[in-house]
Amino acid sequence: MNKSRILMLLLVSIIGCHLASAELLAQSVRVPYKNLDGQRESIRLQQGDQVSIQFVSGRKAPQGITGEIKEISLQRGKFIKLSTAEGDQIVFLDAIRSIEKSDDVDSPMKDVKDVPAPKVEKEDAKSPEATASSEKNTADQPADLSKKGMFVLRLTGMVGEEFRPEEIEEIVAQADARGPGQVIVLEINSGGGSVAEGMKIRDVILDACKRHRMVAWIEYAVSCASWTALCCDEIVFKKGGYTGGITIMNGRTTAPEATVIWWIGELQQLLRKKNRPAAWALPFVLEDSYLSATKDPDTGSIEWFTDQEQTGEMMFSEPGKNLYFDYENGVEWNLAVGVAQNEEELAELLKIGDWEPAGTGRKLNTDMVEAKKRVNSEAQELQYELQNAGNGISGINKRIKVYKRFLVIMRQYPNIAANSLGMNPKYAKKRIEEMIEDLEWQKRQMR
Amino acid sequence: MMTSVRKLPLVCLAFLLAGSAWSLAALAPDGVDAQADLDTQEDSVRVYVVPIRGQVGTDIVPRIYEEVIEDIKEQKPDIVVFELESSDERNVYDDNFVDIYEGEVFDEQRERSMLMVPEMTELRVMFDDKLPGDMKQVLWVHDAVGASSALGLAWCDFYMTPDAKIGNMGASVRRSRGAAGDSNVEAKFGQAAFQGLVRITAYGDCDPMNPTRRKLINAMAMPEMSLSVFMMGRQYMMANHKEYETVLDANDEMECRLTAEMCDDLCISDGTAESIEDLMVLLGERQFMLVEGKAGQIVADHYEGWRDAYARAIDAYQSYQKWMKRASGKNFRSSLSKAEKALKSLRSNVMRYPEVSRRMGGLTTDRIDIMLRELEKMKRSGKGRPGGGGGGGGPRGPAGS
Repeated sequence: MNKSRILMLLLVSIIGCHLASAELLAQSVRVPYKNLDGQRESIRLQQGDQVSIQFVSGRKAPQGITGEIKEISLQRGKFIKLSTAEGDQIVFLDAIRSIEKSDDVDSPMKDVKDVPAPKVEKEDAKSPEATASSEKNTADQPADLSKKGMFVLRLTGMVGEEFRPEEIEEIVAQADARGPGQVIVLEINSGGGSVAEGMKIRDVILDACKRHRMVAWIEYAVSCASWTALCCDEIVFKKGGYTGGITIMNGRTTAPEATVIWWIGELQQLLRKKNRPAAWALPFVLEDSYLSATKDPDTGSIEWFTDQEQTGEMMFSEPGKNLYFDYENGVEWNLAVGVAQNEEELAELLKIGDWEPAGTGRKLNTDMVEAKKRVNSEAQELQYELQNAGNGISGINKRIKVYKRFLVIMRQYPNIAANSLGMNPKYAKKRIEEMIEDLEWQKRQMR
Repeated sequence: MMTSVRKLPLVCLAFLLAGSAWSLAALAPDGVDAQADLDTQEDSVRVYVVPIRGQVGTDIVPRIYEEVIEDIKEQKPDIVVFELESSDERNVYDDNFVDIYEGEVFDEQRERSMLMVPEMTELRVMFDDKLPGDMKQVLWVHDAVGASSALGLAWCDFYMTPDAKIGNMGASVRRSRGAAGDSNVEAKFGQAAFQGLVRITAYGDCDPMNPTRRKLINAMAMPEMSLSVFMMGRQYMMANHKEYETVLDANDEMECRLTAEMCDDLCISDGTAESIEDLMVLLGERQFMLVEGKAGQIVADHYEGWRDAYARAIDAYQSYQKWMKRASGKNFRSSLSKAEKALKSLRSNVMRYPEVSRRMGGLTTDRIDIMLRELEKMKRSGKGRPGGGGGGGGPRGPAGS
């Protein structure tokens, strides 16, 4: 009897221990790994999680594997054992470069009742990153052609570098594919850049205006970015947004007089084309000019004055001040149609009617921003190679190789590559080709 | 012995029962008082305090507030109080620290807020976009002197502590103007920088907006602008001249700065509160409870984390320089190895905290990678710096080191 009691007790405690250990095994643990940049990261995982893992093996490019976690070992041999369609596989932690939990991956091993209810994440319409990720989802869904597509292209950074006519062309092509009458929104956050690129941008936008509704949605748009906004049919501000300061410069000073006169003429022409007052052109470009205006309280019609006496009731520009509009006076004095903080507000303001988000404009922007980072990083290394190449034959070969690499980068990102070399983008390609030819000649002389 | 073994299951059972009873007792509210406490807590307004403290660009960076926002969303408070304390003139983390030889140690050059206007905008927009609209946001300024004063005017509900000051936000305007080569470009650059500040303060535009509020921002951002004011009932009317009743800024060479008292008297702020209790009274909320959020810890951890990393990075950089100098003769390889180790340590600190790179004058990981490659080459060739010509000055070091 006593023995049986002791046995019973032992049995109960053993079952208890097993239950506890099973619970421990099911507990989540933080799994450390290094990402592709060598930065330390970690993620909380547990048995049964569906994961996609990127790992490296030898010198090969990173590979991917997806499956359900069967075991996580953080002692001695640190690894994750996955149950995949091709059987169990082990991935060592030091080979892992990324881990993504994917609850929605179908798994034949997973019991239906274990599948969590789909998580309804509140999509933040105002965050470009969030919208970029939603673009991925909408891209896969068939378009509802009874609705208008709103194609939002975010344009950031320097005009000519990340902010390029190529991406505008791309978003216009996407809108064309859906048919005429789409709404293309250029969401601008830029301090300006190359006027030459600005002229290309004008041609692309004015052409697109024939088929679609082009809208500039401004966070801030200065100089050439402001020029881009003025190319559009309509302008909308975000809260606090502003635009103006279209002075044409050479380095840090105003361009020569002839160029300035040409530029003011171009600006006047553009303003007239878009039914905006041509009187804005001069104060947009030069600081020693006057601009004031009066608004009829009954009709709302506005009269602009450029006289020194500032006849108008509201002063916009005087010596020492370039013309800028902000989100308040821009709307009040008819530059913009209103203020919108997100796409829903924008659609309402523009009275679009039935619409849906369309295109991959935000992704185009994030790709460009990433590309610029990559190119700048590589350009620094190439510059270092150039500086330290030496003067012998091997040094010359090295320089030729570096310049050829610059030419390759230049094919895709001409302005970024040229700027990183401190060259005028217009002549950079020719100049580099000449340098390569010169180095080849030097090499021949040395033989 | 046998008897005790026999009684073991009973003893265990007794312990289990006792344990359960104790835990149940612990869970149950302590009579009527506890119930009353719970009722009071339910009626109380839940307040979450978010510190925004230190130097803009290093201590105050948007990325740490992303985590804070997640916590706020989880805690679901009724009111979020942003405690802004950032000054170009004093150490907001330690007012009492006085060096016995040097007096108060505050390196104005290094601790002055960085002119990261786009980052400040991102921070302000983030709180507007990502927090639910029904969550009241209140700014409580402990000090906002320098670039951070743009944030100090960026909330509609705006209170100050009695000793707080606000103003002198124009360093970015001055810098932009200084970068211009002529008057046209100066006007263009200066105005663009000014509008950047206005964009932040736009989030403090209340409805209805005071029509002369922009004059205050003009005077705080542009040194040449003066400021005077007169009161129309409870509303101030300001202008950028010295003609009105009270002149607040007569100096044409410095930007305007105001004390809490001035702001309170002229109804620029909504009031002055010394403590959170005072603030809640001013907000008309007598019953409130502070939510124990993670914000304080996140901000403190970041402050300590990046500054420790910076100290380590400086040590590593000095060590790198030392071993590079010693890299000759029979110690060549071993010195280079030590220099390499120091450089790798520097890299890991810069990688972990981008603020370290900023404080070191923009020493990026790309740059450090090039330095590492240079070292690698030296090790392989067994010679000094590659490229010849006497070394060419070597890699660029941190500013001021």
